Amino acid sequence: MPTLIITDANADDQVRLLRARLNGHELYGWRGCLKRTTEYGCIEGVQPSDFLFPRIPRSEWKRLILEGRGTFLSDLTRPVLPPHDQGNTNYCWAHGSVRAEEAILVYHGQAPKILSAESVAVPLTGGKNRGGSPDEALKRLMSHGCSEQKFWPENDLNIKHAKEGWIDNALDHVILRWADVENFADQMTLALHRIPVAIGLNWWGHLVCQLDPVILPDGSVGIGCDNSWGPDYGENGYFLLDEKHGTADLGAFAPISTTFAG
Amino acid sequence: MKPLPSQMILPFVCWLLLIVPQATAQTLTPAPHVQFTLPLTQSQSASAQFLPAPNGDLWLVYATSSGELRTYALTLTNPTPPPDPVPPPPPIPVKLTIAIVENPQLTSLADRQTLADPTWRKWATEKHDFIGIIPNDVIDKRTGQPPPRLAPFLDRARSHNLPWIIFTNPAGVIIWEGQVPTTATELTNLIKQFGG
Repeated sequence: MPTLIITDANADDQVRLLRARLNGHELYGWRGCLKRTTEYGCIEGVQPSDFLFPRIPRSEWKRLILEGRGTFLSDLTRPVLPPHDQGNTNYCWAHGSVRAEEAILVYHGQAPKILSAESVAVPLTGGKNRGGSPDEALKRLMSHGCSEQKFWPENDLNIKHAKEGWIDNALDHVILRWADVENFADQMTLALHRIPVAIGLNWWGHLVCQLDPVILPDGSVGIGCDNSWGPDYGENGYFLLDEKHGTADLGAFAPISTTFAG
Repeated sequence: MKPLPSQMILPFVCWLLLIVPQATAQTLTPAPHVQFTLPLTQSQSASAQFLPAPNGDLWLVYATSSGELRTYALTLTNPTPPPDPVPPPPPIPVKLTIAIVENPQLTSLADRQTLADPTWRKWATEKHDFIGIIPNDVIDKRTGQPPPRLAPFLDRARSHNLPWIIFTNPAGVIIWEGQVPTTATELTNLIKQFGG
């Protein structure tokens, strides 16, 4: 299957795909939630990405991408992490955020784990199938963490179906530090640093997990992402976005460190 | 003293091999003052004896059929060649416990490229016990303290420039520690050097 690259030419198709998957339900972000919203209270530990990782000039991007080939995040994650599949739920905001945490766990050499987006979302939504924001997911990931999927079956929105021990297991996967992301230069700088970013995209009404900096066939710089629409989407869930469609404008965060289960 | 004629060397050596009991391979010293027949070339032989020389060597004295007495000085050496020097034992592969401590907010782009390289990670994971790249301020949310398993590594790295890599053997003894090399190749070689 050829690499899926989302540009102006096919962006509308992606929106239609999303609407079809959700069967007319509320789309993620349709309420227009903003980055660093206070709707969910103060989220501790935020630091501007540019403060931690000074923006790498655009003129350096291509060279650094070429030099780093084979060592970016998806080179570590794709062999060990199967794609998420949110099914017909509106929980992309949880799936994409959780995938970012999975990726940073892999970067830190922890055993690959498939984490449960539902263990993040359901306690917040009460099991209601609704959209959310990356800030909402992040707040939960920092306070309670997220259990492994073996404790909470994928797409099961009933908290009673979670297995005993899921709360304690979630404490092994808590985000300790994270960076706020302001613009595409921040995203690219983080990607070059092998730091994943959960990115909310207004044009799509969707949230995905950014992993890699990439050079697109037309020579421009874009990003490689993991979607949460199962293995049939893109290359086993992995696809590319150009700058226009990959710029997070509906909230974003980059987990930097997590608890360490060993 | 006359040099031993070259044509006599081979038969003499052959004779020595025959006359000296094979069982005395450890001591090939001929018995002095014992007369014996020394085979010469062209089916000739001579009456011969080994006589002790004042310096500890032996004289081989024999008379030819023409009545001529000949004497040769023989320096006895250990007939057993010295054994080859014992080669150093090959390095015994040790299953390392490998931990790297980093400050995720300060790790440079170059270090991140090295740390993310799949080659050394594959080696470290398959051949050794790779604990991981530990954030320097990691805590267990249950206790608010560093996880006990990681605390020794964090303590070890505390006073060093990060990222800091530590190898221990299965008994927990530190084999090597230092700053993470600047390239993935160097890091792979470092692991192979200490752990195979």
